[in-house]
Amino acid sequence: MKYAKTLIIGSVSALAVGATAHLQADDTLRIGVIGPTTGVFSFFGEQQRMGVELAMEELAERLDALNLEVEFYDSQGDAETTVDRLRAMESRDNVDLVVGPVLGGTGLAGLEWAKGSGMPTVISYSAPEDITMRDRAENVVRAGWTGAQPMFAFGEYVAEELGHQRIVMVGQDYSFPYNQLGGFLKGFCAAGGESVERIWHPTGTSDYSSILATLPDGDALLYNGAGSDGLAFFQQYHDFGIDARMPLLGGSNFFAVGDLPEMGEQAIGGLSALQYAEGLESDTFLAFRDAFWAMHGDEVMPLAPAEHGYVAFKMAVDAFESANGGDRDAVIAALRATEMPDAPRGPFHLDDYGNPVQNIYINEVQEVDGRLVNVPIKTYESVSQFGPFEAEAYLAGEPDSRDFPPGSCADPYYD
Amino acid sequence: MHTFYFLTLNGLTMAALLFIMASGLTLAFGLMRVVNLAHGAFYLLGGYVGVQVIRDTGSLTLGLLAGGAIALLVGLLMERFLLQRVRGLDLSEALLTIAVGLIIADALLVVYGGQPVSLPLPRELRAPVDLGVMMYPYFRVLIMVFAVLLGIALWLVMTYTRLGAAIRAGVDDRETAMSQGINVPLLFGGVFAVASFLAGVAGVVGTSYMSLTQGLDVRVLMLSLVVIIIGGMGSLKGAAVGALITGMVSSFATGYLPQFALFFLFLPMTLILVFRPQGLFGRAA
Repeated sequence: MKYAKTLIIGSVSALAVGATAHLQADDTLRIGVIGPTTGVFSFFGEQQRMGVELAMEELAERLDALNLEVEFYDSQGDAETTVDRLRAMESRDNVDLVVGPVLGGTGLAGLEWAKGSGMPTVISYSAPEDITMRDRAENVVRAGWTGAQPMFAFGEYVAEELGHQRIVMVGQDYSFPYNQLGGFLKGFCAAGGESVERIWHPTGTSDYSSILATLPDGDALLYNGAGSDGLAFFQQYHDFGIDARMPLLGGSNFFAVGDLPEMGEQAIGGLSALQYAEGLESDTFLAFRDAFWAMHGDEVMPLAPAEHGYVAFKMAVDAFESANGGDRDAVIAALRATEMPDAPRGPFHLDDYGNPVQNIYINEVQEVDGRLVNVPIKTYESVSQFGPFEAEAYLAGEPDSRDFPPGSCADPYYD
Repeated sequence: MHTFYFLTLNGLTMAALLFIMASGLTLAFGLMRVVNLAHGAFYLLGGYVGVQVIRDTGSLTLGLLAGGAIALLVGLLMERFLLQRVRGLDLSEALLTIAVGLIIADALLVVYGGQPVSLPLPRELRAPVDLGVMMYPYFRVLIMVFAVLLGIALWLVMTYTRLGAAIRAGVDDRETAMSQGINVPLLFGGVFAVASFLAGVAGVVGTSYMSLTQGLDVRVLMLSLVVIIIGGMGSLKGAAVGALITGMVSSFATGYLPQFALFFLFLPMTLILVFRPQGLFGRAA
C-alpha cells in the first residue's frame, strides 16, 4: 500500500514536471550562445559574449515580444566540451537556436553535431571554409568569414597596389593558415604577383631567430599566424632589424585580434586584411562602438569576434521574427535569407551556401587617440567566400593545403 | 658565412636560457632525486610576475628579482609542505610536482588571462651591437653573458666552498653525507629554492624575446628535461654541455628545416637514452 502511494505521488510529480517542461518548450524561445569564456582562448569567447550582450540590450523589447531567453555556454575552446554543451542545449535546455562556436576546431565539431541534430546554427567567428562549402549543412549558416575570404583581396592589393612581386611567407603549420595563404595566392597571382615562398613552423614555436637567419629574399614578408607565436615573431623580426629589409605584412588575425597593444608602436603601418576594422568611421560602426563602450567600458575595444557575435545574435532574432516563432524549417529559411544592410562592419548578405558576401578592408595599424587601431585604407566590396571565382569551379578544385595552391604564379594551375 | 654566425649566436642565446633553467633542475635532481615537473610552471610564474613588476616600476632589475623571488617562495613552500611528506616515493613525488605545476599554470590563467604577453624592453637594450662578425641585439648578448657568469658562479660554489662540497657529497651519497653531520634536509630546501629562483629569473629573461603564454611552461620544461638527460642528471657540466647541444641543434634545424625542428630537437636525447642512458656526464646508477 505504502509502495503504491509512493508510486502514485512519484508519477504525479513526474507528470507535473513533464508538463511544465512542455509548457516551457511551447512558450519560450531560447538561444544558446557558445564560446570559450574560460581558458587560453577566453579572449575570443569574452568578445563574443560582450557583443551578444550588447545586442540583447538593444533588442530588449523585441526579445520580450518573442518571449526569448538567452543562455551562455562555455566551450573552453575544446571540441569535445563544445559537443557536450551543444547536446545539453538540445536535450536538457530546449534551446531553439545556437550562436557560435567561435574557434576553428570547435566550429567543425559544432558543424558535425548540428548536421545530426538539425539545430539552426549561426556560426560566429569560426572560419574553416568547409563549414559553408564542402561540408555545408542546410541548418548551419555563418555570420563571420572563411580563412581565404579576406586574403583574396589582400593578395590582389599586395601585388597591385604595393607592387610586391616576391613574397616570403612564414606561417603556423595547420589548416587555417593554409586556407589564408590559399586565398592570398589566388588573389596575388591573378593580380600579377610572381611567387610566394612558404616556411611553415610548428604551432607553439617561440624562438624564430633561426628562421629569420635563413630567410630567403623577397619584396615583403607575410606572417601567416597570430597569438603568442605571432607576437614572438613580431618582436624578433624587429629585434633583428629585418623590417628595414622587408616590410612585414600580417595574416588576418595578426594585427586584428588582441596582440596589438603588446606589439606597441612598432606595429604602426602594419598591413593586413579582414572583413572588419575597429577603425571604421561609418555611422553604424561608430554607434556600435560607442554603445559597446558604454556597456563594457572603453578600455575594451570591440574586435571582430565581438561584432560577429553581435551580428549573429541579430540574425537569430530577425529569423525568429520572420518565422513567427521557433518552427525549425521556417527559422532556417529565414536565416539563409539574411540581409544585413546596417551591420557595424558594413552591409552583407548570405550567399547560397550560407556565408556572408561582405566588404573586405585592407587595414593599416595607426595610432588614433592614443591607442593602436586597424584603420581601413581600402575597401573591396561584396567579396564572397569564393573571392573572384565561380562557386562551382572553386568547389571542384582541391582544398588548400600545406603545398597547395602552388607557390609559383608561373605554375599552369594559375592559367 | 653571415648565416652561420647568425645561427650560432641564436643557438648560444637559446643555450644560455636553457642553462639557466636546467642548472637548477639538474642540481635539485642530483641532490634530491626529484624531477621537479613544476619547473616549467615556475618559469611561467616568474615571467608573469616579473613582467608585471617591470611594467609597474619600469625597473628591469626589480622585475628579474621579483620573478625569481616569487618562484623561490612558491618552490620553498612546495618543498617544505608538500614534497617532504612524500620523500622517497618516486611516483608520488613526480605526480605531486605535476599537480603543483598544473595548479600554478591554471591560477596564472585566471589572474593574467590567456592572451600572450611581451616584455617592454628599453630601446637601447633591443638595439643591435657589433660583435665583430655581425650585429646582434644587445639584450641577447646580455643573456649569454649572464648565463656564463651564472655558470662560473655555480661552478665556483660547487668546487671551492664548503656548501658546494656538502652538495656534492649529498649528490654522491646521501646516506653517508647525512652520517657525516651534513644537514641534508636543509640543503634540500636551499637547493630547491635556488633552482626555483633560477626558473623564475629564466621566465623574465626568456620573455624578452619569446612571448609569454599558457602552454609555454610545458615546452620549456620539455626542453630543460632534454638538456639534463643529454648532459646527465645531476651534473652541472652536463647541463652546460646539454644546453649547448640542444641550443645549437635547435637553431640549425629551425634555420634549415623548420618543419623538422622538433624531430631534430629530440633526436640527440633519443640517441643518448639508447646508447648512454646516464647521459654524457652522468654516472651510472
